[in-house]
Amino acid sequence: MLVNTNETVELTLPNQLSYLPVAQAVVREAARNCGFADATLSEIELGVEEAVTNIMKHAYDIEENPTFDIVCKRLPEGLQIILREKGIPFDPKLIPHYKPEEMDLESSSAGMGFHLMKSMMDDVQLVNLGPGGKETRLLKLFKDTSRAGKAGGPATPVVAEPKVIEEKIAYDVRLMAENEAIEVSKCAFKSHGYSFFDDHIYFPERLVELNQNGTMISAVAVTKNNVFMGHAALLYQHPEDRIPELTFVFVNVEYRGQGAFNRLNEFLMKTPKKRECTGIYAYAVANHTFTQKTMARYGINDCGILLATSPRTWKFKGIPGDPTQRISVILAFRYMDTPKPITIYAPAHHQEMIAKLYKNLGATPVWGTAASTPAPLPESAPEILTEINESESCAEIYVKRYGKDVVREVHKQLRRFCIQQIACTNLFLNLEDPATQAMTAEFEKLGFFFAGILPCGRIGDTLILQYLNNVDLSYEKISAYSEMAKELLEYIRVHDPNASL
Amino acid sequence: MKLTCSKSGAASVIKVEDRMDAQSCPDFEKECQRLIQEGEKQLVVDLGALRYISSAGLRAFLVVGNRLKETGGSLRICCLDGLVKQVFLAAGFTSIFPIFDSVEAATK
Repeated sequence: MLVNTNETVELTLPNQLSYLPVAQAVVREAARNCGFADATLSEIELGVEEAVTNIMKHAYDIEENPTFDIVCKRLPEGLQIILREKGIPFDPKLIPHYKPEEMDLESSSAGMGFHLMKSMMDDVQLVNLGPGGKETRLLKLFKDTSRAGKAGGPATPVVAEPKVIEEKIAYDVRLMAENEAIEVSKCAFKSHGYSFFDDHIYFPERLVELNQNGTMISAVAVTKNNVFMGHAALLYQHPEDRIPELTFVFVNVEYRGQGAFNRLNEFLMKTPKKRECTGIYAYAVANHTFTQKTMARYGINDCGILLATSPRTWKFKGIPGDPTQRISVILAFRYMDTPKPITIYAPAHHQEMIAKLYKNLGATPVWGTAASTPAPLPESAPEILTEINESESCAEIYVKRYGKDVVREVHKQLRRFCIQQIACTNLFLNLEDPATQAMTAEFEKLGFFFAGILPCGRIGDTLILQYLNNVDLSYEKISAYSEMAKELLEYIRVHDPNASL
Repeated sequence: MKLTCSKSGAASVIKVEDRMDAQSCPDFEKECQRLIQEGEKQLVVDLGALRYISSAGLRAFLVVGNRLKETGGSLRICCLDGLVKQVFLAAGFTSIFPIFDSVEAATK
């Protein structure tokens, strides 16, 4: 139940006296795991009973059937128990001052419970959280001060990180077998907990199905004894996609440093695809440069930077990062064949940067010039596709076909996402459509700003704009590896309307 | 909580075992009430086997003590130990009720 100094036990209970033993048992076991002696466990149990019964008697009307939360948090110096409820407001100053020395049979016992709570615990605080309700915070310190600051009491199992295997080992890279899907899910969990943005990875049966129908190609690295080392995949996100995403790249900690990441990428590049594959794209997180370096090594070159696309709580076990702001990603792309000549209608004010990005990918498009007076947009309604990833707080808007009210429609979708408190919205415009040349500036008036390009995207070669919904972002904390990425990051910063605020 | 009643001279002895908390203390009150209604004037509560008590348990002693006082009787407590003794001391209950080290001493 408890593992280290960050260990926390939390439960929600109905506000009924019959659940008192449950509350006491949980707190008692949490305290026991911290290493408290039996006599002290009873003191803690008593402090908890007084706090719980206080909530049951005073926080709610009898007719109500609410719940309250108990949180047991191990601290270096002891155990903190927090009881949280959203009952009727209460002024702790009004608790009667209990005087044991003046007690007799006729005396009121009011305040006795609170007095006992304070007698048994080392600290008791009643905290008013306003609309968040109230908390009773109990603290019990270790009597043995030598334990303070050390992780783990006597009964506490401490889970050690697996050691990295230093010597080089022989291993194979091949397509994933069905019975290895569970190892892929486990590996994802070991790397990111349950924070990975695409939850397919936590469902082994889905991984098998996606591989069977050609939506996904999974490669695994295994030792000569068939021990699972790591995984990488190409995933087609949409049925109409011509380019898969290189994703789900995880290598178990003990096998990092064996070059498995590189060999998995290499294998996937060469593996025959059941579906069209004009290119491969990948997102590399920008809170470290490890993935970016690997992408560059395999000619998957930078073409965009999407800011603040993932929550700062995203976990990267074994890889240092900066957890203080939402995570940005570098978008990278590689053509699988020599790109066909294509006419690109870049907005004039971004053409230079767009040309640099294409050059970085090894492409030389033909630059189309729309008529000096842009043609009016079609009278028909625009065709707009949207996607939302709530766990990432990120949304996408694709303008598949322009129409008369396209700006209003995009604005409407953007507003919807903002109301839902979506942190970032990316707008994808078709660079092969002459209308993009003139319309980009109209979308920028809504607050969108340059992010990059993606060739062969869902709606064609794509210009990506981004919108940040009041995201606190420091450009200095974004790690860009390649010279192109560094230049692009600065270009984006200059065009970001929020950066100067 | 386990309650065992016995007679020792003029006193009724109630042995309380295990726990007296908010959930279980009504049983103790009911048992004492039954004895008082049957005419018992002197109750001795043996807490030697009680390992846990909270303010709810202490309040039950106040209720029983007052009931006995109304009928001219008295409540004696014996064999306090461990956490129970600690709680009685913290709440000032050792000055409310006569406290004895043994059942024999309490029933004299």
